[in-house]
Amino acid sequence: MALRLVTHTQNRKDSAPARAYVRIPRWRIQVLLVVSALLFLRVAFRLGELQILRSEELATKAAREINHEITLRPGRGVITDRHGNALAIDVERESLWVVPAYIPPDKAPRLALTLAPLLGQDEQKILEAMTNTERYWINVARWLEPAVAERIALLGEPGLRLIYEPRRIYPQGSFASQIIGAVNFNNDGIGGVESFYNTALKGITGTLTAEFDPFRNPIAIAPQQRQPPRDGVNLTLTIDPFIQNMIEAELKNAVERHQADGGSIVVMETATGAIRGMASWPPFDPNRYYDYPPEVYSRNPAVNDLYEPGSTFKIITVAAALETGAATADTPIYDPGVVQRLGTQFHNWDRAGNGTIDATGVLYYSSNVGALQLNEMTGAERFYRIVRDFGFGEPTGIELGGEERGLVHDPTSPLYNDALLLTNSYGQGIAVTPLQMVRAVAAIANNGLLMKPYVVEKFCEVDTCTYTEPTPVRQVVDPGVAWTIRRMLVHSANHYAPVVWVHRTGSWADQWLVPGYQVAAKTGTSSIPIPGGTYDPNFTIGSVLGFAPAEESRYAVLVKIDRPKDDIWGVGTAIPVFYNVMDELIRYARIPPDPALFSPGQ
Amino acid sequence: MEWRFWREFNIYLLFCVLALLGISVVSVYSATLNAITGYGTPMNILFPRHIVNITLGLVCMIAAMLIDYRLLSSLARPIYITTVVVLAVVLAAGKISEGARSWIEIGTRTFQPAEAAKLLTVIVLAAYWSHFEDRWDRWSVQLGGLVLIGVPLVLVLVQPDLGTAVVFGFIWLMMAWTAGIRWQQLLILGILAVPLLWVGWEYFLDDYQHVRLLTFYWLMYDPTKVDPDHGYNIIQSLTAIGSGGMFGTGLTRGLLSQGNYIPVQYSDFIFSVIAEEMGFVGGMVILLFQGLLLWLTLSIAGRARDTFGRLLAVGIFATMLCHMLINIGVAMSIMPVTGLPLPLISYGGSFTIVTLAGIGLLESIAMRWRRIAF
Repeated sequence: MALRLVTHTQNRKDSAPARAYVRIPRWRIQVLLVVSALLFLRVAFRLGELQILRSEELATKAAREINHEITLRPGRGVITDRHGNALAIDVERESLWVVPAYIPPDKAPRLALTLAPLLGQDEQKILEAMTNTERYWINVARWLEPAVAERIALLGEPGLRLIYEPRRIYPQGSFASQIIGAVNFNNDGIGGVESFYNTALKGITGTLTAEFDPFRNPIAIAPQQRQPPRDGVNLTLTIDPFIQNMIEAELKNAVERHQADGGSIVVMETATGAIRGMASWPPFDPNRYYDYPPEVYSRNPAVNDLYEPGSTFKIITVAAALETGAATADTPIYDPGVVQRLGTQFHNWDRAGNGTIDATGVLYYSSNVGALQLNEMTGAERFYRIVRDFGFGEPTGIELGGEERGLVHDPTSPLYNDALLLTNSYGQGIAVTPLQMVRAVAAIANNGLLMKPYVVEKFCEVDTCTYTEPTPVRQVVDPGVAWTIRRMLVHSANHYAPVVWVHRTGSWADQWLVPGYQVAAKTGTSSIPIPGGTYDPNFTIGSVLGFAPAEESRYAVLVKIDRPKDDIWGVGTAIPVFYNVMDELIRYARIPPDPALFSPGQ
Repeated sequence: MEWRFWREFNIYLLFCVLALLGISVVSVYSATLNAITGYGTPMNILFPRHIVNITLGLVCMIAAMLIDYRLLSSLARPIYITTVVVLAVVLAAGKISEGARSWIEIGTRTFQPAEAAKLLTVIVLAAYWSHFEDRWDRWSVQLGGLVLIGVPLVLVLVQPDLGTAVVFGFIWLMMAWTAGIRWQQLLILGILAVPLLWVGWEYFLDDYQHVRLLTFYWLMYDPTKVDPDHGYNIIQSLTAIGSGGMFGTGLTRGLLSQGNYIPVQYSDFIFSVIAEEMGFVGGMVILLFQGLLLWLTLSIAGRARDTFGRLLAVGIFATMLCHMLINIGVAMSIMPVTGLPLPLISYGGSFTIVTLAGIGLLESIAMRWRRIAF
């Protein structure tokens, strides 16, 4: 213990010369201490400045940078046909975005060159997006094919982001395209059901409020506020896939064979008003609607196009005369072929007279002069009342966007004149939509009860479904009148059998348009108004309007072929199509043949 | 080693080091918890590696404590030659990472010789000046010192590793000052350095380094001029530090730290993570311990028994001070962006081990400050 003390003391004594041995002065070290203390103070002040004085400002800035509200897109409703086949669905496709801040400028040209063939875009355009420093995100391509997206993902570039985004797909291409419509880049429907039910189909947008990292992933540790999106309503259409397919094929054949400009076929269920098929030419592919002119993809000719119905409108003329009691089925009418009224000539299509006929004959021979005289008996007030009751001049209320109301110039209209009453009797000077015609004739088939047409059968929101109830609009004509007109129309239909079958027995009345069945039909050749107040001298619209079977009818059909190039009357083009459609429909609906029609002659 | 040396063991220094290492463990854990590289690789392998590095470093520290530092003085020549040769080898055959040829692969791990070169050069310079301590103010001695530091400095500069080159310059300045350079000499050297710096800026610095230096300048004087691409790192760091406020968001709760907003947040920008998650209080605690560490180092230098020990301690002090100021200064935008780790805090194998070895040497100096050892 003593020794230790001594050693210690000795050490103390020795320590003084030890320091002296070091030549370099100590004050230099003290300078270092002072300098570093000052530097540390500077750092500490800066820390205080940032974390205390500017904390609020910087925290706000941080929040602005990381807090985002992103919209969660709901799935757009699925559209199916009545058998459940998908017509329009959403699929998840990846879209490509570039984040220029993450693309080194020296790498950008090579990257753009790699992407150009994959995206099918101009390399210069991609490079422009990559070097755009104004924006954080730039969309380069939307809805990539999965194979392309995979190849881009394999590049492993942090500046290229693939983001899933729902894309509307129409798995059946142009099938029923005018009914379905399409969806534009903003997820808004254009045309058809997509447009009419846009809001319901879109659903309700949700939001996700969260903190995001620079790669736009929610930061794991941060709380999120989620308002889930509500998916759109799923729609089941009344469209029957078989019927739609069949009429589309028939229309295509007819249009191509006769080099027609277009046409429409509408099939409506007479008892309910449900549209089972509605085809128009030209069709379009809603998956790439933008490759077609807007008048093709945004219009459904069956409800958006007006035409002069021509002789098919005589059904309405006769119905008006019978319903108002102005004439009966037996009232004789003299048809000299040409008559003089209001200082001008009115004539039949061939100027040939048919002698004394009755209302049946007016339809059978398609007598303009006869129809005109029926209207003179009915009078303007009563005629236009019935025309309106049949729903002309009014939208039908079908759930398809942009429906036309038609042009009916009755005496209340400033454009009305007395000649219109006469020409309207055979369907000139009046404009209607194909759907209005089908609905009117369906009312005859339906014992005079006019139905509201519809294309959506079922609405399903999550798992709650509502069904469209058939809606009667009004009783237009008495059931008895309707029955009488049906008999006339069956007779009229048989008039056209030779067009399909040629003469078989020598007597037209022996032939039935569809053997074994009573089919009601009336043809029409519509003149096409052209600018200048006259009609196109070369081309017409040929149409056939009818239903089958005549009693307890199932389907009302309009076949309308626009401007066939090899048939001046149009009717010769439309009748075979009408026959084919009716024949197929009757088989498809498994309607038993009428036993009364089985005879050795058949 | 005799027991009596331990009476002089500087327990405060060790305490400081252990406190900083403790903070380091939690901050590196938090900084790598949710971090993802730009290519989507998770970084959580870094944390266990960091623990291994610290363990290795502590072993090196104990080893350095046990040896007599004076031994190193006599080994100065071989140490210097080895350093220069290894740095040259790195340049010729090193592994390129993050744009610089700075790494040597040893098995599966990589090693950065430039980090070791800092400590080794400090030893060499200390030996050099202590050898010439009678003639410390002569021009020939000063020029010799410049040549000694100049060779490794140029070798790291061409890697290119600007940060380490700056550290070498700083080491030289502090040690030359302590070794007794005169005011006039410093002034003349400073004037001569101007054309040298100009040549360096024009011919040796890459465009990206120009931009970094200019960004720093712009951020201080005209923030609107900052190119968002290049200023991004600094702005993120500033926002992170600022949003930490007084007490911080709590460990692993910092949105910017955990959301991958801060670049290299486990090393160059670790101070941003600490400041965001532990706030002003946490940042000040770091500064306090770092400051205490430096103060203890200087007091050891002041009490060292010989010139070599004193200069050695000042050199280690200079290395740590330079790293601290640059690392924290960059994070707070009072220094241009230069990637340097924060001593005893940042992740980084070579630098952690070398720093702890330096601490060991400091203890070795502290324990042997009495001239006569019985």
